[in-house]
Amino acid sequence: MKQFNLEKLSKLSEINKNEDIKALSHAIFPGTHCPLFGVAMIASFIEDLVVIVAGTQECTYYAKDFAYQRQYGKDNFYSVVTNKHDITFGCEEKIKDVIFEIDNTIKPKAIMIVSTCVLELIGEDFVSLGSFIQDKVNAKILVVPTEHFKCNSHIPGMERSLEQLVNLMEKCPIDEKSINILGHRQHGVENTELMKILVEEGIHINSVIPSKTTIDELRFATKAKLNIVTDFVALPMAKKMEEEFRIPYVYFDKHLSLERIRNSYRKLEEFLEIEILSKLSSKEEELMALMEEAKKVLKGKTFIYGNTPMMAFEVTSFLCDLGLEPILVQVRDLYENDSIYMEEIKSHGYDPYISRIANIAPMQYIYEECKPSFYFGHENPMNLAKRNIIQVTLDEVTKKLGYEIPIDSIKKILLSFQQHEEIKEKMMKIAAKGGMRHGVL
Amino acid sequence: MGTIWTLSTIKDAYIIEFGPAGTTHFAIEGLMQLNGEHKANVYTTHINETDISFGKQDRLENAILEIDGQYNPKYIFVMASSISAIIGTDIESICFEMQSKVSAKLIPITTGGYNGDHTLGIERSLNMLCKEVVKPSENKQSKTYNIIGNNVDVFNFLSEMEEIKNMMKNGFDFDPNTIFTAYTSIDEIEKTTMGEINLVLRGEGLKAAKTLQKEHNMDYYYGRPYGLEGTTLWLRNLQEALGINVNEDYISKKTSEIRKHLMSYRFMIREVRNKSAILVGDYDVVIGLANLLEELGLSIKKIIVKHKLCKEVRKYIPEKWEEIIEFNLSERELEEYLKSAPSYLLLADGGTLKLENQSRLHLQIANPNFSKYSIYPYTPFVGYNGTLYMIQCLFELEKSKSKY
Repeated sequence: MKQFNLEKLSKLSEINKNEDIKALSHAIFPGTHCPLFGVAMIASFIEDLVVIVAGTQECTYYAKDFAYQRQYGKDNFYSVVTNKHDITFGCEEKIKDVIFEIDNTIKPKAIMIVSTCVLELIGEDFVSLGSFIQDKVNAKILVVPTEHFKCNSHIPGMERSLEQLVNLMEKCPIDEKSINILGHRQHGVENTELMKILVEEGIHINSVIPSKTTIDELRFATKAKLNIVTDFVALPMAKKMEEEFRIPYVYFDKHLSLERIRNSYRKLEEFLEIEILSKLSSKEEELMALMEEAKKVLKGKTFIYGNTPMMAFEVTSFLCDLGLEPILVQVRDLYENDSIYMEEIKSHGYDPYISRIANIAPMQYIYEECKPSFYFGHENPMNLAKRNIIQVTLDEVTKKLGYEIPIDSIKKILLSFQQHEEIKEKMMKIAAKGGMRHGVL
Repeated sequence: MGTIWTLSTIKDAYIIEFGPAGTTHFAIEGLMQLNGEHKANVYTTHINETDISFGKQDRLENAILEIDGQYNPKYIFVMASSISAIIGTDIESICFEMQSKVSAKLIPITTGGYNGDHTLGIERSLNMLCKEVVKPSENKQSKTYNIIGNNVDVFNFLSEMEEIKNMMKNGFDFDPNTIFTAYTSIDEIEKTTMGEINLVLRGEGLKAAKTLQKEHNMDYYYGRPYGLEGTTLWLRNLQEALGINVNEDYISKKTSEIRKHLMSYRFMIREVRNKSAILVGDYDVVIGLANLLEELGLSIKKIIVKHKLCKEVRKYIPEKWEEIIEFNLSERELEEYLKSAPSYLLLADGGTLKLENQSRLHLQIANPNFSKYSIYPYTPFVGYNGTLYMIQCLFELEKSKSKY
């Protein structure tokens, strides 16, 4: 009996809430990351922040391992491994002892306490514990619960840990020429189109959160006149900063459409009282020319969306603008602006299937059924090459902001298209010699 | 963790974990840190609040039916995660009820939860494979052996395996039949009983070896060969267990080859005043390497085992180490000790080597691993070649320290 087919899935027009998004299979491989991973992704950037992870040996081991790799062995992640007794009688006293000990011995400026699935399940109240202990220690206490059974990915862990960092901030006099970058998780934000143009206009970066900051810098994050949110995971943080410190924000994510990027730049012009759009007209022209070129090549071709560093529906909408037809879009969850992008896709007359992300195994059966021209995202290149599917990964654009994102994306798509036959031939030769491991050419 | 590590290296094994997806995802990615290759098919069902509140298990039942229908595997290993274990999901009953609906044999795994550390999962999984998957066989494959306890969590497992194979070939002209479990397949595990003897390389494999002895009348030998003397003793004990003569030429040749380097090493460190060494890692590895270091003229100051010791092994702790061996210290206790104990050499896992210590030379011999990338399978610590390789490493360490 055929277990995996598209008919199990909902179509775009049937998606109204998260529960409408179905997985291609009941047995999932490899599955999504959990919120604990999201916390590790954020907190490990801040080297002087002590993070206490409380949970099973397994959870604490993997979180510490990630931080260890990220911080080259100088991690500030500490494990509280719970046992049978803790699960039966609670572990509040144990956690308090650990906090007191760390506060006394390491004397950190802040401690982030992270509770995991099992402790949340038994109802251990970490938020109350954090409030109770705050007066008794010198470190600022932040609390992030990371139960995975209430969500479907690592995103809530990132959102919550960023939001908690606001508790470290203090009211400061505003520096009219400075901005914060919120949510950026790559180094080198100063090399992006966005920052280059802002610097030309005399604007400087106050803080890049989380990728280039410390606890002291976070205290003075409120000096910035404006927060620029470059990743949606920092939206709750930006909203909290607006609420508590009256700092406005502009959502300048990794957009792809010319209009959205132009609107974002326009908002920056208004908030910062500078003129930048006129200096980017050559970029706009380059993008428009590239879009026309791409449409000629891509018109009528089909694709499956796997994953990119951008939002699934936003990228899909952009690819529709380029003349491509979506067959299947793999998504994590529905997010704040998704309804806009979903409408845009529908306006092209397309109604693709929608499935949950991070489930590679059944996809092998779906390729045969869909026969797409393109696959956007990570997958074993051999699996795609043997089916004559062009693979495009867009990881490189993670470090970009502004018109350079759609420009570089289109260039990569066209390059992948041009080089497909050559790559396919190489892959087939490798396959004949015994294959290769999962990866991307 | 131990269960997933043990089963992940078995080709054609199908494993379903009933719990949040993150746990499975971490475990799969964790294999890379161990320099292991993922061979099995590991799936998660994910689980949400409704499943937990109402004790729903249809995700698991559907996943079992789906895997059985799509891939037609011989076995499906059904695991509870910590979450499902705590809410009391009865994996055994689910498997019992579902068994009539599927072709695969369903094997419940109940090591999730808070029963012990990763070594318990490894011990029980090895034993479970021997109980549930190994089949009786009429015909023995002469001159073959099985290995129990070469698992992906053992640092340097690839090289250790090659050296054991090399020694069995040179010493007895024996070939491997089944390796539990890095790397192997379901088919190979089924035909375990075709091997003549089981070589148990780690304590966690003893229970499995005893099961095979009881149920299939298979002999076993427990030991991990390190150093010149230790390796020769290992071969001689095997000679007795197998009832055939070991190749004396092989032993003589390797002995004379190693002896000259042993002497050179002893000569090189003759003026080192404090020749003490501290070992931190997995039980069988640190016990074996302690003997090797003694042969090299070093004195063992402390042996620290980083996990709980399984019951089967307690009686094997050598008397001479009883006073200096410690188990399962916390990271703080470990660091306090290392800071207070000046030594010449520290052999330890990647994490311990980052702690503050008073040791002059450092070498990684255990996981967790943060930087070692192991694909070349001929740098063992066990056996004759392992002795040579260890002498080479220690020579290089001493010289690099002297130079800079």
